[in-house]
Amino acid sequence: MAGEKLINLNINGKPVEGKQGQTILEVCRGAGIEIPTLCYHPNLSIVGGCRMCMVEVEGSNKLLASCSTPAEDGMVILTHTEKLKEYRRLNLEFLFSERNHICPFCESSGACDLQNLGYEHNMESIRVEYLAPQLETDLSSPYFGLDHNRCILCTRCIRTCDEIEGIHTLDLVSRGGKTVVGVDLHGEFGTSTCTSCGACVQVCPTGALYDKMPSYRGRPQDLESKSTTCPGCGVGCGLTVQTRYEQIIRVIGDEACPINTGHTCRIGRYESISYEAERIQRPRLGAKSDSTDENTVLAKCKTLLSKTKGRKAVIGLTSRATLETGFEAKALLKALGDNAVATLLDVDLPPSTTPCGSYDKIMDADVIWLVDCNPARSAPVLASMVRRQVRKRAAKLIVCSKRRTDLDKYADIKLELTPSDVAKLMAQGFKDKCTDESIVLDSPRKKTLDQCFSGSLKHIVITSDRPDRHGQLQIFPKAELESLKDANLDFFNISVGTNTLGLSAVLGDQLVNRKDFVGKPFGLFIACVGDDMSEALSLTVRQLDAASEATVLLASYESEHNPIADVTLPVSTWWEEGPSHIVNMTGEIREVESILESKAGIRTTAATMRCLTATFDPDLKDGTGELPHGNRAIEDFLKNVWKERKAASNE
Amino acid sequence: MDINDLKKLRDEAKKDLELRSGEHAYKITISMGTVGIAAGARDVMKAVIDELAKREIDDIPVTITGSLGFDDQEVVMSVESAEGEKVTYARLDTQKAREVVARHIDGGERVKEFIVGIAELPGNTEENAS
Amino acid sequence: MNYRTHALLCAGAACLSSGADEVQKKLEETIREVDLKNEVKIVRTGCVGSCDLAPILIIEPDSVFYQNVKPRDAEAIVREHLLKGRVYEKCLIRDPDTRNLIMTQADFSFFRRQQKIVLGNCGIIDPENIREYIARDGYQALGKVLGSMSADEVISELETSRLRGRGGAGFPVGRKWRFVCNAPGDKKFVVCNADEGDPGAFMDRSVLEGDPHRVLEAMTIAGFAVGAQRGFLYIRAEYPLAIRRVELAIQQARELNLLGENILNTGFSFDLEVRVGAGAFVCGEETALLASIQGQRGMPRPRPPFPAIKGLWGCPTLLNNVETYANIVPIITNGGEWFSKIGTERSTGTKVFALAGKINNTGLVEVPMGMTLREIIYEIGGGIPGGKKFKAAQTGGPSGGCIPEEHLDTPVEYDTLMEIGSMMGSGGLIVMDEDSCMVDVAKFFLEFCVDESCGKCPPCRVGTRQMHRILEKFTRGEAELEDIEKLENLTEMIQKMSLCGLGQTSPNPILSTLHHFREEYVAHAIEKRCPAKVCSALVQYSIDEEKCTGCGLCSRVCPVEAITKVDDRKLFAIEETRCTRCGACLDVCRVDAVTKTSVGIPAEEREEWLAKN
Repeated sequence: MAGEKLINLNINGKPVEGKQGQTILEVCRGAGIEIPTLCYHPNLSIVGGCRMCMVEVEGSNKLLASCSTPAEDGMVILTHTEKLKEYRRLNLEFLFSERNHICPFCESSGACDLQNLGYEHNMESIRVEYLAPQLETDLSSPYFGLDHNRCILCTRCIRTCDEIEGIHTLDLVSRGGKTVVGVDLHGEFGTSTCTSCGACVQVCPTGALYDKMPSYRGRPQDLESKSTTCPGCGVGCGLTVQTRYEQIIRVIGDEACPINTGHTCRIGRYESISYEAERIQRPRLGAKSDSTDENTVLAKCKTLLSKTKGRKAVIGLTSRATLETGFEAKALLKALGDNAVATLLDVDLPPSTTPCGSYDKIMDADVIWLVDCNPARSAPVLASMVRRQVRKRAAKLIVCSKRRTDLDKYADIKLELTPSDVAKLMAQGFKDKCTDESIVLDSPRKKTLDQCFSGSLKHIVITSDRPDRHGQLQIFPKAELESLKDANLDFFNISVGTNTLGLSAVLGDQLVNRKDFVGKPFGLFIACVGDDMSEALSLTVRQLDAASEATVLLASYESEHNPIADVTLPVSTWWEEGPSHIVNMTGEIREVESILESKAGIRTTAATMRCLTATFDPDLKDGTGELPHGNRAIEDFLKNVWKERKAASNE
Repeated sequence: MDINDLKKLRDEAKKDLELRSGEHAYKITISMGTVGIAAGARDVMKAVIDELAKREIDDIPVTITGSLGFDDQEVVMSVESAEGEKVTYARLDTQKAREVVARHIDGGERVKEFIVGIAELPGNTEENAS
Repeated sequence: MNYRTHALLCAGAACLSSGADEVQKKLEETIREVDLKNEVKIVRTGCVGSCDLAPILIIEPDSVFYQNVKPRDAEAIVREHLLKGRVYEKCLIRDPDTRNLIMTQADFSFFRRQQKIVLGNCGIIDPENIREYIARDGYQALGKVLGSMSADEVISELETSRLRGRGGAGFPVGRKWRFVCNAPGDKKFVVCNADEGDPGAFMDRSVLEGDPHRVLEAMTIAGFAVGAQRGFLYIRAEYPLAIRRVELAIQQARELNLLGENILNTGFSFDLEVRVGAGAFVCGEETALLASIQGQRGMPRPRPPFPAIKGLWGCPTLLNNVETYANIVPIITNGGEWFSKIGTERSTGTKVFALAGKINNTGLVEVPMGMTLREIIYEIGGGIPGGKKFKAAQTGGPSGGCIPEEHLDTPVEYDTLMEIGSMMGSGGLIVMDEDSCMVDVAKFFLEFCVDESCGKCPPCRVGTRQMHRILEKFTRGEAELEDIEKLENLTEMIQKMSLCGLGQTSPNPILSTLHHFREEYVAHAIEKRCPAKVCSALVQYSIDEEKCTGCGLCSRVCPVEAITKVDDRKLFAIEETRCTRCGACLDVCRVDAVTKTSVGIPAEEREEWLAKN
């Protein structure tokens, strides 16, 4: 197998083993030999532009860039000769002389690759003239700034934007000494095609791209880093959260997480932290001024429950609620009586709640069908996976939707068809190897479409089965296609909401769609909002509050969008949640870690629910005992649920 | 078109370019001084060109030159072979010129009766090599 | 129709810009007037080569060579030469030595020593008429290849010829074709680099404008030999005429089944497309060129992988320049053996040069490899005008170097030029006389590299600007001796560390001038003197009282009123503090009273001068 065959090299006089297919740089780093780089990034394509990694290879009259040169068996390599060190230092001097690299005023000082290399190469002075042009700083984005004066043109940001986020908002503009990183050629971030995913900031080796909010609030060495899962959507990206003084300073993508390998989106990176919202500090009855002690509010809750006895009680959960919260909700439902049900406050409940598809299938497909969904909004990192494939020309993209979607402009073909018509079209296409004339398309696009069916290309249909805004289910009739023998066809269902699959697994039939309650009066409403500040959620909470007789609100932040509940209980945020779990849209269990200490007197949503349960029914003060402990147990539990559901749907 | 068609096309097209190649069996030069023109040199030339065309001879360049110095013998025309053999004809009219084309160019025979008088050619012989 | 005369009007870029179109109009008009329509055919040809004599008109079969033909001359040529057979002497060239009239190209020294293989058809055929190309055995080589040769035989023929790439580095062409042929992959491409960007070079343009089919035929042969299905000609946008003629040629070739599906019914299919480059010099670098064809920003990438293995869209790609392709057809027709006997052992064949600068005959020349620079400059180029002294010849464009007089007898070959610190390059040859300052020349070429750096790697992007700053110090008289050493340190690093050829060779003009003309650098640094009196900061203008007639012309043209009357005498003098050294007074003085000097600071006064400054 290529990549597994071992090769032997001699590096700096010592024998070193490497694998066939590795570059010299990879072999060296694998052997603990540090070669300086600036433009190299393991997740990005190789450009060989910074020239820091040049090495001497015996038999070559030129110096070779180790990042781009394949290692070969028997190579004799020198990586740190005096000449190389001198050349590298002069190269660094060139970079320092080119623009403004005066470190004390730079946000990245101390965490800057350029600065570090300067120290490493004993660059105590610069022997060439400072060229110091006056360049602009683009501060038009609400999230980050771009200071061209600090840019070394390594193009990592450009490659990230192109190859990871799949947008290509950034590229170089002009040439020679006038070269700069351009946003949409000559635009600025604020008004550009940029998705504000912030991935470019994460890979910038200097202080050219920097996050605005965390600026000057701590250097990496001052910060503590922990990994957790993103609360933003059902993709389940891993995040690395940097904190200082019990505050979140910065959120970046977790390089070690196989789902997103360091990437994340605007929501995950910037929008999931509320820097400004005011925390709810104490339990209260009614408005903010009526804060009181916990016993009083719990007693009040009990009164409310008995007052509404005989009428349906509803627990509203944000889809961010963890599996652990789900199990507490189950106990609470039991305590609330036979009539009680649970619902999701921020998303509609999908008709099918078994996981479908894996991300690898998307990255593998030759033809991607996006049917009636807009992942750029509901699962941005998944949308970037699709764009990545299309931009690499690795896959054709066919967007099927009556509405405009954010991925329309990347589509090879846009079909304004309903899901069932799409299924018919595909069934015919796979059978006849082409589509009939009833599809109204100009001839080049018709040709492209026919090409997709010819041969044995790998197709994947990405759907997001859920009711549309009129409550109508637009389900993709998968079964019609699954019987086709020749079709190399797979499906992926986007489950909207962070832990929708997990909560539905735990709560089963007791979880019903939120639309079922709107305008239909019921009894007690326990709204577990947590730190979810989304508008969709607030709207549902207000609607259900209006329909209910009494409302108990479990929330982290004061929000004018939430109604004034009869009882309000403070709960911890996602970051204070403590070790817990969610299930992402592919059915994978993701761990949620405790990033911050919870505030004094504030419990997690799960713990607060437990208090309520105990208040309503002291017999259930230890829960229902169903909560599986450990990943393994959770996995088994989930497997069981999926199996049962599959069996049920086949009947 | 296949390879043979291409060869045919080449042979056909070659004729158009013969003029520029510099290698010809004969070269015709007509004296076109003032006297020559007055004696009808232009008509003679047109006749020569016409006759060549009629006979599908297309690799013979017809050029003109200033007066050759036999003002009383105009129209004067010389035919020079590739080997450098030069024959000069005098007192031509269109009819005689056509005959020269027919017999000398096409037939390879020198038209003795029109060759300029030896005595009248200072320093030249009938078959002088110029 | 049989014409008795072909009037070959050069329609190369130089002739067109000198009014060839108006000449043609007048020719046609007069021919109609004197009723020669059926006897004279006007043919617009490609570049004849002697571009300083434009517009050029050649009358066949007499082969009379007319130069500098203005419309009224065109009328006279029709009335005198075409009608009456009298050569129109006014437009003939005169031998510069004997002052004798020269009638034909063959008699003109500029052409006499040339050997035309690449330019064999240029100036002889109408490039817009495929029939004329076919008449000159065009596409016969393709027929031979497709009809009777295997890919291996084609490549072997090239290997026998020992043809080397004409783009600059001189890589063996046969070996390159073999690489691409052997590279695994079903999809392959053939690309022609016509992004000729060296200042003053126009060899490729002339071939494309004068004989486009030759390149198309060669690329099709290449497609067959390496197993490619498609090809691209990457032509710079600054060559609109070449683009038009190549596109026309592609269309004509397609119509005759010489391009496209099932060429000449042999089952071989191949097609070509033109891609227009947007004017970046770096796009002449092969990997940048390929990126540009793919629609990306034209920037080089590190090799390996080489384009022969991973080129366009990751497929094996054969890339040669125009002149290289122009050699293929003669090699196939006459055999590699024939070709290998032309030129020298290590560099076979001919090379086209664009002669420019301080030389009598400028233009395009094709000479067998191994001819000495002296022969090219003095015998073909006609030597230096105005009796000035030769100083240096610059070859290889901004990547090349300056060759001093002592190396004039070096035979022109890839390797010998490298040995004396220059390079073949694509064929620019600029001659400089004693009035050129070598520091200034180095600065000029470096400026080009500064402007044309793509900006990808720091050694080139920043390094060239840093070298330029130091050279500026020299020309302003602000440099010190240690700056030479500083410069040498930078050049070494930039050569070794730059990503592509543009950066790696950008120090060459500095290195070669430092090597051959170090004393000029020293003079600038130590004596603050420019020996060639070019660097304006280091020259002074003065008026010789003996010669000055007091006409006042200099005073009137001086833009800064630095020249005034000296007391009551009627003579003029220059006020040095005001003078901006523009040189206007020198140009207008009719009695040579204005002189330019660069005195500098004599070495013995240097200590004193240093103390003062």
